Amino acid sequence: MAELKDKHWWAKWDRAAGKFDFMNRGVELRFGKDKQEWFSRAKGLTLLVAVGTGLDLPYFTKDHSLVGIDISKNMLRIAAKKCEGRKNTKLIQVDVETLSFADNSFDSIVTSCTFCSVPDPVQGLKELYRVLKPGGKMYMFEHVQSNIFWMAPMMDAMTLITRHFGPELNRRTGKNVLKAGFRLTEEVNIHLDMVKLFEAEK
Amino acid sequence: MRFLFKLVDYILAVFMGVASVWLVSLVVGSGWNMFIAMFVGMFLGMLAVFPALLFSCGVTTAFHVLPVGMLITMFTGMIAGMAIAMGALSTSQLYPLAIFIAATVQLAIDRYDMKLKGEVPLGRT
Ligand SMILES: C[S@@+](CC[C@H](N)C(=O)[O-])C[C@H]1O[C@@H](n2cnc3c(N)ncnc32)[C@H](O)[C@@H]1O
Repeated sequence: MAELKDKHWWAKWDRAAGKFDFMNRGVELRFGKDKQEWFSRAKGLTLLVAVGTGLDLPYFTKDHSLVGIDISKNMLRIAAKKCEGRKNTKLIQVDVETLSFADNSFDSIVTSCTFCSVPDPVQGLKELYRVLKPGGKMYMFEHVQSNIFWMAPMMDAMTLITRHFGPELNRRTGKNVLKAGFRLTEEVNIHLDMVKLFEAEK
Repeated sequence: MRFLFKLVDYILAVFMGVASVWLVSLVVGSGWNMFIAMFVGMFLGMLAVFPALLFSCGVTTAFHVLPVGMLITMFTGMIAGMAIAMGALSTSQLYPLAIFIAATVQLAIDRYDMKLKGEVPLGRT
């Protein structure tokens, strides 16, 4: 695993790693089926962005060719334990904003609660655009800023707190995907207008 | 499973409603200025969302608790604050009211969720 030494902003994710599986059990219980269905569309060599502790690994068949990346070493350490029996899965510590992969390397990309957490989401998405093969697709499970009039300001206010220990609640991920150059081909609400599935194409 | 999830949602909603009345009743007393009682009630009521979030992360998500919880605790907190300040309702009368508000808000949000669920027409993003 390559080491990144010159940054420290992800310390909050290193700290969160130990209790991450417990804290996110509800997400997997409630949305696991939706994720599995959505991610099963990914074909060929797939980049799993911000793999975290590997909660999404069971949604892929054991022989799926996967490259899981994350910025946090502690997260990856836990994910590595879930990779037993997955010969075609590789984990790499890397920043999605500065990927080390060559252009057009991947057939598909999957993100899961990723762009609530990446500091510069458009830069991260531009990098994903670069490494995805032309015609390749990106499948996303993301929570985003609500347009419900009383929820939107609440999410802005809560983000002032949550960003110190976890994700931001007010990201406009759909718009960011378009800004990065992707074509949005599908968008599905799975809980209110806050938890969504996106499919985007290069 | 869906039924169990719904049950959890309603239990949490009721917990937040009842907890917000309880919190307000600890602080606001009869004879308080109505306006102040309303705001203090609203603020204290909303604090009830945090334990609900914390205790429920194993079975539900913040996205199920927050929108519902914010509304329930804001309303019940405000009503409890004003009712206690006016001496209009006792705490034991406020609890059933809180349960009613909680169930109604949860039902309304569920219906709204059903309306929003599904494919979003492209170009709306
Ligand atoms: C909310 S967690 C989601 C983890 C996992 N996808 C899941 O749903 O269980 C966000 C993850 O993004 C990672 N992350 C944040 N910024 C990143 C970046 N710039 N590059 C790579 N990973 C990043 C964090 O380390 C963390 O594991």
